[in-house]
Amino acid sequence: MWQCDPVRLTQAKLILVPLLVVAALMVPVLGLPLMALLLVGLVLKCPGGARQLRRVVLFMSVNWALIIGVYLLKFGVDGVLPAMEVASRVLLAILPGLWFYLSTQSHHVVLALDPWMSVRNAAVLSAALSLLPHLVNETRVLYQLARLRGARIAPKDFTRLHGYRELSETVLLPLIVQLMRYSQQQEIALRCRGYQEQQPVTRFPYKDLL
Amino acid sequence: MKRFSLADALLLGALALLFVAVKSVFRFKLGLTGHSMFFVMTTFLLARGLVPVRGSVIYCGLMVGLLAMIMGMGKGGPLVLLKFMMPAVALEFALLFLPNAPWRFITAWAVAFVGVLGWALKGAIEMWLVGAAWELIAVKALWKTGGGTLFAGLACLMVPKLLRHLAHHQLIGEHRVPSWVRKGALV
Repeated sequence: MWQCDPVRLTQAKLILVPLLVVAALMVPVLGLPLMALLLVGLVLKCPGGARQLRRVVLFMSVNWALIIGVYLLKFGVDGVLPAMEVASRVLLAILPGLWFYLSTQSHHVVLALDPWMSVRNAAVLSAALSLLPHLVNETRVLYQLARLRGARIAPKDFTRLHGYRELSETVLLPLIVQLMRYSQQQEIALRCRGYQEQQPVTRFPYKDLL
Repeated sequence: MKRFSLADALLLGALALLFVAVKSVFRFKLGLTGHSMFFVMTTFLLARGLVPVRGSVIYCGLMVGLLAMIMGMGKGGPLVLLKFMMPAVALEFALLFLPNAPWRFITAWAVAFVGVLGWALKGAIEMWLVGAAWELIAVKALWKTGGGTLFAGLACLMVPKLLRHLAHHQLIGEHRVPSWVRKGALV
């Protein structure tokens, strides 16, 4: 079966999603059912799409109540139809993003963004991404150490304000210090490996990854 | 000519990562409007405090947006970028007038308020494109601004304290700390 290059597809999606959102917001009323059919179909086709769609609809119900309430107050019963139109447009505007999220893998997004980014931004982004496991580890260690020292940051303490205050002093502050150190070390490591802004040495090997 | 050094750019990237990681741990689905502004403003004000160079907040916003998009946060695809860039640009604009804002609660809150306005503006533009009644736009914008300002206020309670701690332990370069903070005692 013919398969599209996933990176090119992701690039197309990156451009298509904002266009679809603007279309959902501005397309004439007659085009709305077509948009709805297209977007709901796209979302439902993705794995887990139905569940996510249900969640979004549930999450948006408060918003809908607000929209319909304001229109009822302003226009009375005549306001119900325009309110429904506004509400459905707002919902449809969320779906392209949801489709992107459900149908795109992270490493494809990185590869798709690559040609549009400067060397430095690509380096900073990949450095930040590679920091993630260290960050998680560091946070866990700092949290456990703070707990052992008697900080009141057990899960039950987060129902009150003091839990958050102690968390910021005992975990967040050392974590920021650690991050500052890591970023300095990363800079040294990059420079030691001959990183130059003019030469793209930090890019991912495009074809090998796929 | 780059505005800031590679180390600064890496630090801003690391802060962006911290935001995305924290935000994905604290996923409150309480429907509390504007609670994300607490995390956003903490990150942006810290970014400006640690790297007091024009453009640092926008750069941090860009990195947050890109990381969020890659890690699938917010389920918004490329539009997540806009969600973080709007408050970042607004905050950067306010910082033109109050360059040392993150070091004091009141000034931090003032610039954070402008940032929140930028964030609420995104929703307002969306509703305006839909052609919604202006009352609806106003109600939603006011609701968002109110909630956002409240949570940004909590962030502003925390950030100056954190920055002063860091400055006290000489972890921020001396030329980057305002002179009145250097002279003052640890708060």
